[in-house]
Amino acid sequence: MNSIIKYAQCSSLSQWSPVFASQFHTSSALSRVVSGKYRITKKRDRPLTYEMANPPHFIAHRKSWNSWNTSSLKDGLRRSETAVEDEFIRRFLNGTWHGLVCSEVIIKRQFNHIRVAAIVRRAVSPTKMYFLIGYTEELLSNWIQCPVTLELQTVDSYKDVVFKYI
Amino acid sequence: MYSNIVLSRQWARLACVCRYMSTIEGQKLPQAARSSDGISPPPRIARSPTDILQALAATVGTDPSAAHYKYHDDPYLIPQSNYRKRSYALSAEAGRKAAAWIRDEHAELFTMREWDPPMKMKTPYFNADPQIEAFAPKPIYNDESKVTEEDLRYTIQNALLEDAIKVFELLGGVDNLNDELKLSLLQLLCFYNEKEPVSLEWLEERWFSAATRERQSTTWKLGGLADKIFTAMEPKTSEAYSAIIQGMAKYYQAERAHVLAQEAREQGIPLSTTVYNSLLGCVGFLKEGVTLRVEALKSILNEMNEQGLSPNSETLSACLRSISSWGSGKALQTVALQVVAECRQLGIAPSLSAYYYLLCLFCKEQGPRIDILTNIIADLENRESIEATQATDTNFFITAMGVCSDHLQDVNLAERVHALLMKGDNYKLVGDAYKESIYYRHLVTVTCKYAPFEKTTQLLDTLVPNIYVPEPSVMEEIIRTLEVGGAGDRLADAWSQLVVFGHAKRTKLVEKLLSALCNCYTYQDDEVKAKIRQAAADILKFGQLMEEREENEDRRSPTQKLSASALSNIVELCSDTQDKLDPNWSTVENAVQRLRDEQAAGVPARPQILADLAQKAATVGKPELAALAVTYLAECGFEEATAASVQTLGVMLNRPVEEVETLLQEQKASLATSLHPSALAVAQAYHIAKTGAPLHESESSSASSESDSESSSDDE
Amino acid sequence: MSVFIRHYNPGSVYNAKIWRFASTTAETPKLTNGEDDEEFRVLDILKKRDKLQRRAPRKADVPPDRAEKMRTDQKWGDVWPGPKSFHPSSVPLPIRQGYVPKGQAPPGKKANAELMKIPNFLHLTPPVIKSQCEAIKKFCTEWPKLLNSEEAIEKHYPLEIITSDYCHASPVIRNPLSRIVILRIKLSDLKLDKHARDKFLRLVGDRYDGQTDLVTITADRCPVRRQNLDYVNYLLTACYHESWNYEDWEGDKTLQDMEYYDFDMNQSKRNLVNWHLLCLNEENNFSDEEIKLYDVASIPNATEYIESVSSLFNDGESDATLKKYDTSVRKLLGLPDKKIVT
Repeated sequence: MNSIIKYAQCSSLSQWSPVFASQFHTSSALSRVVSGKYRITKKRDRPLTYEMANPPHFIAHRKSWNSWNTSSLKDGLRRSETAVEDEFIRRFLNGTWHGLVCSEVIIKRQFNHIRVAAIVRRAVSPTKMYFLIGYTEELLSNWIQCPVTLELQTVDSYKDVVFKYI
Repeated sequence: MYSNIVLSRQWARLACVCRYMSTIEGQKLPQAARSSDGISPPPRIARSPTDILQALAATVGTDPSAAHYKYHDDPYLIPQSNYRKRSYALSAEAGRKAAAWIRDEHAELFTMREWDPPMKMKTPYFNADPQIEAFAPKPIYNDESKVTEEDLRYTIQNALLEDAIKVFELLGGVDNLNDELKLSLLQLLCFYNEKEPVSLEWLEERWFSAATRERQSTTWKLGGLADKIFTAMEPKTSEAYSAIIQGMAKYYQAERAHVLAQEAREQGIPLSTTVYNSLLGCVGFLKEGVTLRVEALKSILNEMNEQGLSPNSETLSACLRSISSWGSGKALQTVALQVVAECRQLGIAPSLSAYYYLLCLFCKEQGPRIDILTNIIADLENRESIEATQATDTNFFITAMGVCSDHLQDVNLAERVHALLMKGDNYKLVGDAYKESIYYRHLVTVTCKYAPFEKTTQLLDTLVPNIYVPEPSVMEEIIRTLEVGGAGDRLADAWSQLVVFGHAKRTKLVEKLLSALCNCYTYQDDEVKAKIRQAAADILKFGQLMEEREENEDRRSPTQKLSASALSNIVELCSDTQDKLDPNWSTVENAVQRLRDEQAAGVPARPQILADLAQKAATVGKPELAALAVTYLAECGFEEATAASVQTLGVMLNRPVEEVETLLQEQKASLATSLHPSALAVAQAYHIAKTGAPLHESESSSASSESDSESSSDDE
Repeated sequence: MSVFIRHYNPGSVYNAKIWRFASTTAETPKLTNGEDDEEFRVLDILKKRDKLQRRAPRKADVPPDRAEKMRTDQKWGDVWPGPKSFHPSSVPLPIRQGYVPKGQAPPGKKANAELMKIPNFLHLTPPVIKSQCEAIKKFCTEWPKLLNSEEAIEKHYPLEIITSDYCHASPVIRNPLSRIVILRIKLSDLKLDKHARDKFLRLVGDRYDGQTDLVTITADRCPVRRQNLDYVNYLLTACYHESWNYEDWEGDKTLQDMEYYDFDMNQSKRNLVNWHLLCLNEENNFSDEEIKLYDVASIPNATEYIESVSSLFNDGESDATLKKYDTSVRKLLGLPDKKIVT
């Protein structure tokens, strides 16, 4: 794709009018939203959760946010730090509970208290789950220096969170 | 930068506004809670920083459907048996320990947050990063760490025993410390007897750990670090003496303690009340025999008097502890009462430990029934708040409840004790997990035995399974009570409870449950009956599942199989249906098959059941089953077999009884041709019962049931 | 295979024998050898490996939902005491959430991440709020009886201090915006005479709002709210006392410094008087002072003229003032009224 762009941009078109080259990136082929959208498969058996099935332009219409804090209000403090912490928490959870988290990780902050919610598969025994819960809460609290609590919902298998097949 | 707030006057009142007097000098505070002149605000009601939170928290009660809040609130993660409760809590704690270890090992990663550096100032007035001790990594002391006296103070302060000893060694031993540090280290070592205590952070470990009873044996480390420090201390102050004597007394090194006390007294060093209290606690080890011990006790009390020290509540507890550990008997009881009376004169109210020891002394299981508990409870109810002052205070409630249950057998008193425990903040006095389970065991037992049925069910509803999971013996008690009360559906639920609590493998319990179910079966509604049948079928299935699993996995201890009576109970319950297609019939067949295959121990207590079963089965239209039942009866040699077989045959062939009897006199050959195979089997059984031998086999019809061949093989 | 091993380890022959016979795998070679003689071995070219038989994960016995066993008369405040993400087995409500095409039912409450995302207020149901208010009431004091209307409050408490507290989600509770302090007072509540008022207004500048008669002083230059509060109080006191002070140089106030239009002092009066005297053909020897003191009442329609001129200058030009000026000048000069031709 890149080479085509370069070619088009340095092609003869641009010799005659620089306008054409500069507008290439706004053409519909390049300037469109590709994130958060899943391609339809031939067999129509790719499972999508509700979150995945609704592309990003449906946020606030059909979807809700995953991360709730006050940093996006007017004069909200600590916007970038909150975002970085959220990303850390998400990666930590997906790694520690590897293959067990079936949905997006939802992070809610109230003052000092961070509440992390997710849907988890029942693939490990409850004893192991408790170990992971205690470990995650303690490690995240120590890393972010705020009390962290997990609020998990367990589900039998990934099939229970599937919304549609594409 | 100004924020230009254009508020109307109305809005200003709603926003956060403080109104001052027009003069700048401030105002005098009026005295009443309302404003005295109608203009100035009334004085602010004083409150501490957390008063409002506590007031709000007081509006929240307990949720009876939820597990303890330390467990995650998800159906998969709620523990339903004692084993799981312990396992889940401890594994969560293990996770926390793992995280704490990582934090301490890699301390350099956890001291500051990369994305929020402490020196970053957003505005000249803004400073981020509060320093939170709880989240900061704890220092690790090993051979390479550089330590100072500060470290030693830190470790002593936080009761980190091994770290303190390490730091102490790194600092160069006894010689390099100043006296106060030596003293504090000595105190630490004496208190814990050089054994690392479980940190206060690990609540669950402490909660579940006290299942082992501490022996009253000498565990003090003679010649250990504490002794060394003590001997190295010059001059030996009274605090040093106090520390070492109390340490020795706590760990039952009685002779050395008394010797040291003697030394101190000779040197004229004053010893405090607590030292004498601890000496009183271990005075029993010096002498043998009750009278000598009592004399020794009294002599120490006299010493205390001479020194001018007045006793406190701990003195009372220590005396009573010694007295109660020397056995029981009239003499000791009188001495104890004397001590209590004297202390009461001095205005010392007995603490919970004192009451505990009194109960130990007076209310022995085999002894005569003495009711001091009522007075004790009355006294405690009158107190405003019960505080825990000593470690043994937590034993009081379990002993009290045990006394109510075994010794006094009084439900009202038990209720009063329970109400006292639930009042206010007193629940913390229950101690730890082991004590809690004992407490509830006694409570449930006494309520089951002596309280009216509704109260029992109420109590069970509140307690089981979230607060207390009954042990098998208590479960038996509960089943018995339910049987007496005739609560069929609760009994049906009891089976699923047994499975969940992990008691399903205890055959005796299951059999008791089955007999209870049978006993109260007839008085129930239809729905309940259906539930009971379901439960019975489940029991059988469970037993079979267990056996299969056993074969596959080769466990150590094989589970016991259900006895024949239990199986017959199942049969009775499950056969009570007119519907031929009811799945319960397969259960019945299974059960009867097992009986025949000798999978069950013993013989059924009531063979009539099988006779009835045979008739019912024939009526409903399952002749094979009837044949099976009757054959079994015949083989076992029950007298009911003949009558049963006759009647069953009558039902099967739809003829009156006399005709059947005549029919049975005929020869087998003719029977074989004219009768249905199962009817033939019944006839066989009849003959077996009558004569002890099967019919003479002229030709064996291939359709003759396996029971034929089996019965012959059995006979051989 | 087993034969081979036996030969190789003479020392452990005995052991190997025992071990071999005890193991279960010793049987299998025999079996296959037996089969070889009877059946034809199947040729497997493709060597399709069986998909790894994933052992079917044992479906865990999950107890039924807590919500099924909840009584209908329970206290909900005990069940959900604090803010918590939605959990389907603890909430006994059949809730559905999600956008689906027409005809389908929205996804149920189990395994529904959307329900977990939205902030729920299950911990603040009306009965709970009521009981919490009851619990806090004991810390509240009564409102003073006489302050039962806006006017009463303004009468007794003319000074207002406005501060803001902020709460936000962060490990620190400090917010730089909370140091801002605003002080408001009505100018009419301050005791000022004419000169003091004029001076005060000049000192205070555009912090005075003519419509509402409020002086608003804002301070945010100190890092701490208390410091800003002191500063604001200081500013008010200083302005107030300064405005009562009369400095020497204030006497040098000229006509251009005047903050309002005083007819007596200005050129217009001189014009009026001159014109009047001209009409009367009298001598015009008045000096400034005398002009200022000249009694205008003798001139007919003069008061109206004076008012209109003053209002024109003081209140600014607008249709009303211009019209008033128009009519008053006509009256003064004896001209006929403005005729409106339709």
